[in-house]
Amino acid sequence: MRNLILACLFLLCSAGLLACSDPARIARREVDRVTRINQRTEVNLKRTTRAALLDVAKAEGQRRGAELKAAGCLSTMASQPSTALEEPCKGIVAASEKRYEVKTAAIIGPAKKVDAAIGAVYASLLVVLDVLEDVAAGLKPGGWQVKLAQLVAEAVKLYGDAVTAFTAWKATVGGTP
Amino acid sequence: MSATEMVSWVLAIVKTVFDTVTEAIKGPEPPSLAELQAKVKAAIDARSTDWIKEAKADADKALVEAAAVEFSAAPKDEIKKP
Repeated sequence: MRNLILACLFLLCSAGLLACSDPARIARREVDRVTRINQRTEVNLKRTTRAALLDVAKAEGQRRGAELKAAGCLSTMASQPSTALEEPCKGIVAASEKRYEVKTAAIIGPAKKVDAAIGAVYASLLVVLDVLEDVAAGLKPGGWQVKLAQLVAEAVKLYGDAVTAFTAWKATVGGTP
Repeated sequence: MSATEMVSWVLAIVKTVFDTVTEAIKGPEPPSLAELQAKVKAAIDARSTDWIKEAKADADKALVEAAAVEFSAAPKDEIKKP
């Protein structure tokens, strides 16, 4: 009876080890997980960028409208480029345009960098999938497990970098308008 | 019940426990390689920097609208030409 119990325990431990040590399966699960969270971050980035740009635009629009009104300009001048206007309305719109471009550039520049980081994550996931495809086709020599684990770790790290960049940018954008 | 039958029963029980534990440890089956490749490639294909241009264009419109709204809030809409 004791031997039977020991045999059962051995089998259960073997099952656990087998389940946990399938690197291809682990890699597929990680690729799936990172793809999903990377997509979510991408959507979040787009939504946050759009909201931040709209906030800046509305605030600047209100300021431009108020300044034009105070200077006695035409309401239609708010939508015209400063180059098409005459002083003092030209100066008001030109200053408004400059402020607006500076503020939007402060949002768009870092957003592009975060977007590029998200793209790098997808590229690294494709590399992992290529290796998995080779493994499935029996084209990988011995030791592929280590290489695969490194590639997966790299993809996860890249995603971490993208999230860090996004979080830092989002904190900055929160105070922009 | 003979000894052989008992052993086969015990083995069947052990196998069931083994399979159950294995599945529990493994968790849900991850998507297949083909599914993952399609998913990642679709995500990459859908990527474009146009969304930034579109968001900026929408913001430009919002600026003009906000300015017009602010202006129209004045008692006199158009005060004078410069």
